[in-house]
Amino acid sequence: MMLERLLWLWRDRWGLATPAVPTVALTKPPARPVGQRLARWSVWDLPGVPLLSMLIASLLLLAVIGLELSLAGQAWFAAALLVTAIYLSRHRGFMANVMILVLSFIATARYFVWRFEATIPRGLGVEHWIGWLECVAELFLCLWVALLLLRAAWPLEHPQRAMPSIRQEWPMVDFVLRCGECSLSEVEQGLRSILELDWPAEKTHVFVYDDAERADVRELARRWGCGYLAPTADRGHEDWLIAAASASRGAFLVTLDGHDRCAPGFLRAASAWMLFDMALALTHTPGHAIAPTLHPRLQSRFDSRWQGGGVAMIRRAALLDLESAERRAEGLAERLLDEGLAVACVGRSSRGSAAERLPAEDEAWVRIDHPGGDKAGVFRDGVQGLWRTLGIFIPVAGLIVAAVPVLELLFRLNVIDTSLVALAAYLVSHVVHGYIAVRRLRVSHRDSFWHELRENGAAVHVALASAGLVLRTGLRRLVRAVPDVLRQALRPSGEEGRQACLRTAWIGLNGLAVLAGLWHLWGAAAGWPLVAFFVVWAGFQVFHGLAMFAIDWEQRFRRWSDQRHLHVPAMLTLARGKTMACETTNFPQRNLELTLPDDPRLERGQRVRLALLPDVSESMLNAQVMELDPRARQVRLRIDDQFEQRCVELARQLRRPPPDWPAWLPGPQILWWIPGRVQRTVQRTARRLRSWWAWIARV
Amino acid sequence: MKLVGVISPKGGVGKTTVVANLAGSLTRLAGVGQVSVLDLDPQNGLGWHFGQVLELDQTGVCRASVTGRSPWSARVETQLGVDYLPYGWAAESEREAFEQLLTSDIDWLGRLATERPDTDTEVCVVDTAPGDSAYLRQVLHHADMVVTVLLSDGGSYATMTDLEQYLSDMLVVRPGVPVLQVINQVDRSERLSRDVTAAMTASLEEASAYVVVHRDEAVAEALACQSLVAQHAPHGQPSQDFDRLAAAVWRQLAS
Repeated sequence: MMLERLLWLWRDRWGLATPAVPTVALTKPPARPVGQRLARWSVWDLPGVPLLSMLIASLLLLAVIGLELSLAGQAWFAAALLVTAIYLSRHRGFMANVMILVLSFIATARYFVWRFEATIPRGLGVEHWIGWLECVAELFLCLWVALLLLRAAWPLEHPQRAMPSIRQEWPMVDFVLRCGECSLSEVEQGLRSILELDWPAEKTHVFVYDDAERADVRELARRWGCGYLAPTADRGHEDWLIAAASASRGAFLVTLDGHDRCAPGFLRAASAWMLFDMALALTHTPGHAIAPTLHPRLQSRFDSRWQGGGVAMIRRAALLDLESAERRAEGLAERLLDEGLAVACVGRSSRGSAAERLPAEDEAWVRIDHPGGDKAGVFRDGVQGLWRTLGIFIPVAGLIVAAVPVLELLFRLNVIDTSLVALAAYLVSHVVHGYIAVRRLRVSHRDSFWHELRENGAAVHVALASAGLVLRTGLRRLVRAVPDVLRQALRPSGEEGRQACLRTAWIGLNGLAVLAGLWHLWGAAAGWPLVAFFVVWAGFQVFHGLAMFAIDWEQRFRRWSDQRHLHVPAMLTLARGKTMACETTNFPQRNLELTLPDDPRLERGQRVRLALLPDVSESMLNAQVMELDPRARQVRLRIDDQFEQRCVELARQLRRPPPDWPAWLPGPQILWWIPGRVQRTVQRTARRLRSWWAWIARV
Repeated sequence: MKLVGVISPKGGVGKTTVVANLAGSLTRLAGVGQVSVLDLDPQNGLGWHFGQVLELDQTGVCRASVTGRSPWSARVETQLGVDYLPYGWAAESEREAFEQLLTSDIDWLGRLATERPDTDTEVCVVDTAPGDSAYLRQVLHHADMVVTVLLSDGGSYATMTDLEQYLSDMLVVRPGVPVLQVINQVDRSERLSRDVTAAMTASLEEASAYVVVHRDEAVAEALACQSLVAQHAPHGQPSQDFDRLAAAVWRQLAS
C-alpha cells in the first residue's frame, strides 16, 4: 500500500493521468448454486444446528491451525493454500471474500503458533526473553495491521473525494425521471433542475419514464430533447429499472421521481466515490424508494433539515450483471451486496452545514456503507477506538522488530532459532496471503498480471528515486535541523518530529544491521544463508523507512502545490473601465471564489470579465456573479462554458516541476523504467543519428 | 546615486505617468526622501502628478544649468516624499542653450548624479522627451538602468525598430546596462491590444524583462486629481503593476 500511495502522489506531482483502474473482470462466484442450496437447506431451521455447526467449524479451524507438519509437509500445505487463494481471488462475491480472509487467517495463525512453539531459543537467557519479546511485538503489529485494514476497508464514514480536474475525464451519467403521478409542471421543473446541473452537457442524457403513457409528457420530453421511456409489456415492478438500464449508455444511472431534485452536491460526491471505488454499485439518499432502511443511529449523521429528495445513483454495469429475474427494484441493494459489491447511503453532513458561508457544490457530504445496523455501527466505532489505543504502542513494537537484525548480525544473538528454509515455509505463506487479502478488500476488480507487475515495478522505481532524493537532500536538511526535530519531538504536539525521530532510529538501526551483515558475509562466517536473509530484511527496512520519508516529502510538496494553485492573482474588470486586483481562493474550480481588497459594487447575476495571472501569461475569462459577500469582500463567480477548458489548461501550465527535484533524478519519464540521464542521452543520440542520416541522404 | 532613465521613441505613450508612479512605488520600497525625479521634458508634465503646478517663470534645471547654477537648486520637495527636479519655465533661447549644453557637455547628467547637495537621494528617475534628443543621449550615457515605455498598439509596434537601435547604440558604448520594457495600457479583451502585446513580448522576451501595465480609467482620473495611481485607486490593477515594476527596478539596482 505504501508503494501504491507513493506512486499515486508521484503521478499527482507530475500531473500524469492515473491509469484506468479495472483491467480484468472477475468471474462469477464458482459455488453459487451449491452455496444457495446450502444456505436454503431446511436443516438450519432446527434448534441448535447453527450453534453446533459454528462449534464444529471453530474446532476444524483450530485443528488446521494447530496441525503439526514436517518441513516438507508445511511447504506443501502452504502451496495448496496459496493455489486455493489465487483461484478464489479470480472470483467475486461475499463468500469468496470470506474464504480468502479465512485462508489468510490460517496462514498467519500457523506462522505465529510455529513462531511461539519452535523458534524461541530454549533456556532462560537473554536470547529467550528477546525472542519472546520479538514474537509478541510481531503479533501486536499484525493485529494492528489487521485493525488498520478493517478500518480502511469498512470505514464508518468515507472521506470526500474530488472529481478529476479535467472534465473530459468525468463519467457519462444518465438520468431517469420517473413521472408516476406527478403533474406536468412538476416533471418540467424536475427536467429543468437536471439540465441546470453543473455537468458537461455531452456527458449527460435524460430519460423520462412515464408510467401512465401520457401524451403531454411525451410531448414535453420531445420538446426538452429527452428520451421517452414507456412501460414494457409485462409492466412489472422493476419495469422502469430494466427500461432505463437498456436505454441508457452511461457509466452511471441516476434515478429520481418527478417531484424530487438531484442536488449538485449529491451528483459530484456520489460520482467521485463511485468513480474511484469500483466496488461501490449503488449510492442513494436516505429517503429513496430502493434504499434499505437506515438505522436511526446512522441516520443522525445526516442533516435532517436537508430536503434533497430521494435520489439514487447506480453503476449500470453492476445492474446489467444481475440476472434479469433478480434485477428488481425491491431488494436491489441486498442483491448487490450478495454479489460482493458495496452499497452506500449518501447525504449532507449533519455537522458543519450551519457554518457554510455559501451553499454550494463542495459542501460536506457523508457516505455510510451498508449494512448499516446499530451493531455494525458500534462495532466499527469499537475498531476505531481500539486502533487509536493500540497506535500508542506501535513505535515500541516497530523498534523491537527493527532491532532483531541488529541483534542477530551486530551482536550475534540468536533471537530466531530456526533454519532459513523453515522460516521461509511459514513466513512466505503468511506474507503472500496477507497481500492477497489486502488487495481483495481494497479493490473489487482484478488487475491483469502484467498490469500489476508494471505498477509494482514502477512504484519500486519511484520509491528508489525518491529514497535517493531523501538521502541526498532530506537527510542533509535533517542533520541541519536536528535541534528543531528534537524540540518538536519533545513537545506533545510534535507528531511530525516524533515520527521523524522514530523513522531515523529505524533506518539507523537497520542500516547498522546491513553493514554488520555485509561484514559477516565478507568474512565468510558460518550460517551465511540466514545472514543473507537478515541483510535483505534489514535492507528492506531501510528502504521502507526512506520511502516513508519520501511519502511525507511528496505530501508536503502536494500541500505546497495545492496552496500555490488555489491562490492565483487575478484582475476583475469593473464598470466604467476600472479594474480591481484580487486573488482566487479555489482555482481551478469552475465556481471560482475571489478575495477582493475592496467592495467591487457588483450585483448578483452581473456578467464580469476576469483576467487570471495578469502579471505573467494573462488569460481573459467571462463569468457571472453567483454569490456576493461584500462584508467579507468575497465573490463567487461561475466561469462560462467556453472558457472552462482554458482555465484547466492554465492550471496545468501552473504545475511546474518543483524546485527541489535534482536534475539527475528522472522526472515524469520514470514510468519507462529508465534513468532520466540515460533517457536523455538516448534521445540526444537518436536526434544526432537522424540528422546524420538526413545529411548522408542529402549528400 | 543610481539613475533610472525612462525613454521612448514615441510621444503619448504614458512615459511621464510611468516615471511618476514608478517613483512613488520606489519611495515605498526605499523610504521617504530616497527617490527623486528629474524632468528632462520641456512639456513640464511631471509635476502635475505630484500636485505641483508650474508657476510662471519658475526656475528649473534648464535655467539653472544655463545660468551656471547646480540643477539641484531647483529641487522641490513634494508631499509624497519624492524630490522633484522640474524642467522649469524656459524661453525658447534658454531651451536651445540648454540642449546645446547637453550636447557639448555629455557628462552633465553624470555630474548631477554625483553632486547632490542637501539630499539623501539614492535613486533618481529621469523623464525624457520622446524621440532622439540631447536629453535621450544624456540618459543613454549615464543611466544605471533604462526603462523603455511602449503602448500596446500598432504605432508603438512600428517604432520598436527605433527603440532597438537606441538600445544597441547604448549597449555598444556601455555594455551590460539592464533594460526593462514596459508595455503600457494593455487591455487583452481588445484583439489588437492582445495581439500587439503578444508580438512585443515574443520579441522582447529574449532581449530583456518586461512588465505589463493594464489599461484603467483610474490612471487618467489620478492625473486629473493630481495624485498618483496608488493613492487614487490603490486596489486597481495598474497600482499593482507599478508596484511590480518598482520591485523589478529595485531588484535590478540592488544587484
